Amino acid sequence: MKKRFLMPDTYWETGLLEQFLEEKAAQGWMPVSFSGYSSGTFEKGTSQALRFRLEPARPETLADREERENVYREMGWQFAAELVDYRVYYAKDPAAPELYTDPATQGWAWDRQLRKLRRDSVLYILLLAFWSVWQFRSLWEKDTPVETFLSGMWTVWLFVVWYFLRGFTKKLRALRGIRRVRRQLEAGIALSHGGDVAASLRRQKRSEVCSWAAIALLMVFMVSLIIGNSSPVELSEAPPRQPWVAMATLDPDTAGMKMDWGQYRERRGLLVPFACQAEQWRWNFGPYWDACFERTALPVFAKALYEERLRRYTEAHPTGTVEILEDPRFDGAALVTSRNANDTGNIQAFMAYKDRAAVYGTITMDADLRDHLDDFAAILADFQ
Amino acid sequence: MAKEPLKILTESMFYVLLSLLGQERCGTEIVQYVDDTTAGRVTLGPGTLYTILAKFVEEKLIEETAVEGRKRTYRITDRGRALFRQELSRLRLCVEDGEREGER
Repeated sequence: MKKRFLMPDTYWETGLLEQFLEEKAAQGWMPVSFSGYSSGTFEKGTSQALRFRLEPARPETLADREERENVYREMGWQFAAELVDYRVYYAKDPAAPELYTDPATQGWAWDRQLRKLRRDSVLYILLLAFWSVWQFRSLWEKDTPVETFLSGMWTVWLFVVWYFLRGFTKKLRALRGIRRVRRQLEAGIALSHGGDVAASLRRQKRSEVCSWAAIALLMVFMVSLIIGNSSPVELSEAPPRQPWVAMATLDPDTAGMKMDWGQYRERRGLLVPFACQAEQWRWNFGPYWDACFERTALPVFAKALYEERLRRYTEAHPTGTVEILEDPRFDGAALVTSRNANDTGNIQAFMAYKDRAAVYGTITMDADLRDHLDDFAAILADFQ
Repeated sequence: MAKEPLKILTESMFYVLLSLLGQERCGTEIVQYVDDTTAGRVTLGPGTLYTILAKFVEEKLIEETAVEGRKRTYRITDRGRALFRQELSRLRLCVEDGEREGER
């Protein structure tokens, strides 16, 4: 019978791994193979009192290895399995000499391995940092960090931050351990055997549970995002209770024209429990109308959305007249107005927020959003 | 742990060189020789033995002479003899200092 067991993750501290293997052998489990440093496959047999020792793999030919291991056998040490960059040996005979009897030579044998572990850890941290920063690229690529964050990227970013911190602290711990072992060997002190296996395994189990929980949470959030994002429908199919000032309210004559496009979509999520967007326009520089509404989980999100929209719109329309409205019905409200190329209509945007709700409307038509502040205030009050 | 030429030998290294002074030997013969000579006081673990042999070959203190089946034999080089003599002198001085000062 074969079984997989979690192992102490302190691969720089071989004494702990050796004790773990000895405890497993005492329970009748002999190692067969290992999956990295974190787990191994063991086979059930009879309970044995064995001494296990790990040795860094040597750069040697197959013939050299065969000759060396023959001597090892003659001296009581059998090869058990490869553990990444280590070779695992065990001795049945209590009288067999230790694998390493001279700390100075142990230092030589471990030197290359410890340097490799240190280099790999540093490289891992650098690559992890690069990968983590790369996951945030939409912040500077899209120029809409708040909208991107609230629309669902926060789950990915949260996962990235957690993954980075987990990997970083793990490798930092490894680097500290590697430095400690190097100093010990440089001081001529032999590597110790044993350690707190139970504590190490508890830490390893906690880490595994956290990893799987984080992945499961990420999956749940991703699925809820997909479910919460409805497909666009015709504007005529939008729910009757609408959180926007419709084109027909702004200018009934324009609304009576045949439009080339008219769609509505909803979005639901944890940070934005309800959001919707409606859009209606005609080709060839005809009338354009776009409305967004968000009910966020916290007022700070609504404020951030408002500020981001104001900044983006004023950057896109530098010639527009910006009016910050001091109206007690809004926590913040702004109107940006400019005229179209033919001077036949307004290019106008109104953005506001009140408590947890934010509205945004843009038009290119012969109407003035200023005339509908009461309607916007009513929407923000009704849809909280 | 730094890569620099050997200047001082540990007991295990000293006895490995000593074992090859008189004749060529393979790994198990070296272990046996050290055990006999020191009456079991100095034990050479197999990991220690092969790390020393690899380092000594790299430092050209010893060299492989023959491979018979699974056995490899080694012999000491002139450089190895020189280092052994140097170490022996150092140890003699240590003993002399110890005897002179210790008997006061």
